[in-house]
Amino acid sequence: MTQGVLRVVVIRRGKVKPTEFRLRPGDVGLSLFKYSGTVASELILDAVRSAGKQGELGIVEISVQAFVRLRLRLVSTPGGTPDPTVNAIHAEARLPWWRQLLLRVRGVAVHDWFNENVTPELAREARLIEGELP
Amino acid sequence: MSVSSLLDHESVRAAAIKLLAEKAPALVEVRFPNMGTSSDWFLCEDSSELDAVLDRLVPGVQVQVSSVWDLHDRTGGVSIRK
Repeated sequence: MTQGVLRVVVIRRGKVKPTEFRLRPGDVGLSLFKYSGTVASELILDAVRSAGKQGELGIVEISVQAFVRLRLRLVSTPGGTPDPTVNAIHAEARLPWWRQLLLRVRGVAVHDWFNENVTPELAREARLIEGELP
Repeated sequence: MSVSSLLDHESVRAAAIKLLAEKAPALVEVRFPNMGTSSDWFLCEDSSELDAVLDRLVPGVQVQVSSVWDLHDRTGGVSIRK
């Protein structure tokens, strides 16, 4: 039974790369879906695929405990897929306000710090639960 | 030169096609905001290739088109000779 937080990833040569967990400039948090027990993972995959996402897609789960350990906040925000049911379970993993403030003072972009310090950890924690592997 | 747009802006789409005509090839990033997934990346040589990318996208998806001749290598690239 899935209990964590989900993200849609591209499976390349049977592997999920850390690049799947990077922030792009302007992002304030990593876009995710909270597991609700009512929305099937296939529905999430279909919603993202119907938005135009290409490639061999899968879903990874990351435990809530991993986010706590990394001091990330999970904030519920509206999703952007064509499926309102899926959008209702959308969330973002954000840095705490004090970390954002510290980075701003130092002149470090949030996405740069996130990608260097958080992305590798999330990639290690991610477990493939739904995919198109043979 | 770079063109970023929401897909419903037809004039921006025309600007992207103009950029491709003048400074091909272009690196195309397709971002899926709040959709729980990473960007898709494409290298397009002409407008037909760009159209093939754009045609399958829904409103809300963001596309960034940049000429490869204008990309800046800020972190240092790796050159390999064989």
